[in-house]
This record gives sequence, C-alpha cells and structure tokens, in this order.
Amino acid sequence: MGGARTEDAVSAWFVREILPLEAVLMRYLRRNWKNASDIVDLRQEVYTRTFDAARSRIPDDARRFLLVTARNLLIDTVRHEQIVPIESMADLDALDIPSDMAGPDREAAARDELRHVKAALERLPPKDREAVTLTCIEDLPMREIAARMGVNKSTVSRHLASGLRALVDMLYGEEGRPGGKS
Amino acid sequence: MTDSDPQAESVEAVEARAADFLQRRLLRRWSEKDQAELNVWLDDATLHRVTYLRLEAGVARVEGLSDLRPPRLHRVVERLRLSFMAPFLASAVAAGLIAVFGSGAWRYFLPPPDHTYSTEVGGRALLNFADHTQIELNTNTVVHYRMTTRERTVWFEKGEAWFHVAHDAANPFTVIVGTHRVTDLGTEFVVRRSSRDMEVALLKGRAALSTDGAQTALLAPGDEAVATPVSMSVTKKTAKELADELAWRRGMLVFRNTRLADAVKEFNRYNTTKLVIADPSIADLKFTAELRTDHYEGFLGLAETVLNLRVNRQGNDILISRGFREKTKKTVRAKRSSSEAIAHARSNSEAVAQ
Repeated sequence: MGGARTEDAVSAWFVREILPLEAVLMRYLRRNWKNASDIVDLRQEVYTRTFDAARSRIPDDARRFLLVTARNLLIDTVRHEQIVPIESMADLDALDIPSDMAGPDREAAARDELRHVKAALERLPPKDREAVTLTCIEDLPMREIAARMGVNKSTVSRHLASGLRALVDMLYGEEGRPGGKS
Repeated sequence: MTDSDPQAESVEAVEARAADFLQRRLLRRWSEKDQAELNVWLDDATLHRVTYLRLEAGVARVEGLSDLRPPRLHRVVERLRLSFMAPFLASAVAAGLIAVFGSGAWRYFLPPPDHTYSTEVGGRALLNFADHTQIELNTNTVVHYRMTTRERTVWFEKGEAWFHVAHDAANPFTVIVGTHRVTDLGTEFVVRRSSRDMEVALLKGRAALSTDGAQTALLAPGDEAVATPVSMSVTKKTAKELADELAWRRGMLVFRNTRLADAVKEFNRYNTTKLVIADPSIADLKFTAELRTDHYEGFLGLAETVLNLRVNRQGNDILISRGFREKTKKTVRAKRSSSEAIAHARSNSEAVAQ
C-alpha cells in the first residue's frame, strides 16, 4: 500500500501543519497539566499519536485534531495514574479554539520568520550558535568549522547537536508573535 | 511500527539520538550506510520519527536564513567500487574499447548504466569520490559514470560540471563528451556541453583534449578549448575570467560588461521562469553585476531601474522591452538588496561615447 509514500506524505503534513502548532499545544498542556516536568514527554506522545493516526487518514483540521489528541492523552494518563487532580480536568472541554485563528497567526509567522529565527539564534549559548551558524547558514565543511571555532571535531558535533535541540524548542515551542520581543 | 511502550526509552534519550544523527548528517560524510542506519532507527518507533522530523524542520528553518546565500549544495558521497571483473576480462574489454575508440567509431559508444547523476534546472550537486576526486554539477546537467579501482570514466550527457581529479597514473580519468574526450593529467577543469559544441577550461594541472579526428590538444592552465564535431580552437583566459565563469559554484552569476541577451540566456539556464527579450534593439545593451543564479528578479530590477527597460510578466515568461523614455549618457548605480554586490550598468550608447 505504498508504505514509504504514505510515510513521506504524513511526514510532510506533520512538518507543515502540526509543528507550527507547537506553541498552542504547549499552552494547552501547561494549562491542563500541573506537573511541568511531564510536559515535554506529553508533547512527544501527542505527536506520536497524531502521526500514527494520520497514517490511516490525514485529518482535515490539524489544529482540532492535535488538541483532541492532547485532551485524550491527558484523560488516558489521568485514568492510568488513577489520580484526578481537579484543576487538570478543568479546561479539557474548553479547547474550542476556532481553527480559523490559525490563518492570520501563520501568515504573520511567515512574514516574521527571518527575524524570529535570527532572534532565536541570538539566544543560543555562543559556541552552540557558532556551530549552528557555520553549519546551517555558512554551509562550511567540518574541518573549517572546527578551525574557525578553535575546537576539535567532536566538540563541534556536541555544540551543533545541543544548539539544534535548544533552537527547535525556541522556534516551535515558544509563545508569542514570532519576531516580537525575545 | 508504533513503539508499544514509549516509556521504555526516555523522550530525552530519543531526542539526543535524533540530534546526533542530524549533526552527523550535516557535518560528516553521509553514506548510504549511514542513511540505512537512520532509516532503521526511524522505522523503529513513531516517537523516533516525530522527534527527528521536528529537529530536521528546525534545521530547514535556520537554513532559510541563508536565503540570500547560494542554494545549499546537495552533497553525495560515492565509494569507489572494486572492479568485479577478473583481470583478464578487464583487459580484454579495455582492449576492445581502445579498438573502438581507435577506429573513430566511439561516438556511438553508449554509456554503461552504472551510475547516473543529474541536476534539475537551478540545481547543483557535489559528488565526492573515495579517491578524493570531486565533480560538481551545475544546473540542468546529466552525467553517467563508472568509478572503480580500475577505471574512472564520466560520460557527459549535457550541462556543465567542474572536475577536481586526483591524479592516478595507474587509473586515468577520462571524460567523454560526445565525440570528444578529456583525459586528465592531474587537474582541475570545467566542461560545458551545449547542443553541438563542447568547451573545456583548464584551471590547474594538465589535460589532453582529443577529438574524433584524432586531433589532440594539450591544455595548460587558462586554456579554454571549444570543440565542435569538426573543429577545435583554444583561447587563453585570465584567472579572473575563469573565476567569473565559475561563480556558479558559489551560486552566483558574474556579468562584466555583458550583453543583455547573454545575461538573459544565463538566467534561463538556472530558472524555470524564462526571460524573453521582446525587443531586439535592446539585446546589445551592456551591464555589470553580480547576482545569485536564482535571483532573476534582481536582474529585472536592474533592467528597470538602471537600463530603463520595461518588464512584463506573461504567463511563465517575463518580457523585457524598451521603456517609454530612454535615458542616455547617464551612468546610474544601483545597490542590490542583498548586500554584497554593487551593480552598475550603463547603456551601450554611453559605452560607445566614452
């Protein structure tokens, strides 16, 4: 049934439709889940469930689908842990964020994309930022990056990996109008 | 496909692993084996896939910052394959090839289906081979190659490519272009092929260009040879001229006192949107600028503001025609939006007047 093709299509959809909603998802999770240290795990589980579901059919309304998945996950987790922190349930039905809100938001994001990414880069630790810039923007070979940074290759790798992780959290997970104060 | 127990492996550990794959892909040589390893890991659990996709999407956004820079190179790494032919068979085949080439009939010799690499319009690719030979393909180029420990041959179908050949006397490197071939003697060179002609420009080292009629030219650095099926001529180019011609390797086009018609032709090689000179009288206008290969809008901006021409979009074409008023005897300077190049241009009439 064209497994690889489906996988590619779902991946493209995931990157295009779901990831830009990360800030919305994070807000939802934070509002409805007390324990902050669970949030990242919950987010990744929401992504996993969303992706799995999209393999059989790509949802029409990504935003609604993502938030319903999040709600179901929270309910499952609450049941599983057999504790019902009252406040964590409070907001579950209030997820009716009109999906057309995505429109203007996303357009603004596109307009301010460059500023947003730049601002995120500037907030990285200096060495991480240097590794990311030289690799992804300058497109230099490893040897030259190591020479410019004055470190060995494995250190370049470490800075690049940690820089990318921190950067992606900022790029997708953060609230607020991209390009605004940051 | 779904991990039945995602808790078994922490989200943190999965992200660390994904970031490690990604940094390796970005920094190191990325072989088919590496890709296979990544694929296995991605298929292992949906969590792996979503984690990797998320990081990769972030990288794409950062790469978006390099928008004003040349398009990202597609890097490919090829290992030399061991020749699988028994030595006697190989030499028999080699002897056969020599016989075919020697007879002048080798123009009909078709490339073997070993490997083909091509780029689309606007694309660029760097092929790295294990013997340290590099081939960089420019826009709209097709090559076929056989790179083994016994034979290094490239069949050049169309387009343009830069070669940096690691010399090996025991395993010579040959580029076959229609009825011509270039044999490397330790070199850096560029090959271009249009419908009938082929051009070779030698940057470093030495190379021999031989043609169907057994004509052979030994090329020195700076030599640019143009060969048609029946003739061959060699001109000398300065290092600067050659560097300008190779600006595409930086994703740029350099025009120095270039005819508008020639510049249009160049942009059309790199873009699917085609520029058309609607008025033959403007074809000879000359200008100087350095622009990104995909930045034809910048070029059109120059045409409008500096050459005072009119630009109209018509379907997928953009027509360039004479403006209403033509300014003459006036030199204008225009600053390109993307910093590094200051382009200036003057109308041809003024060039004559000077």
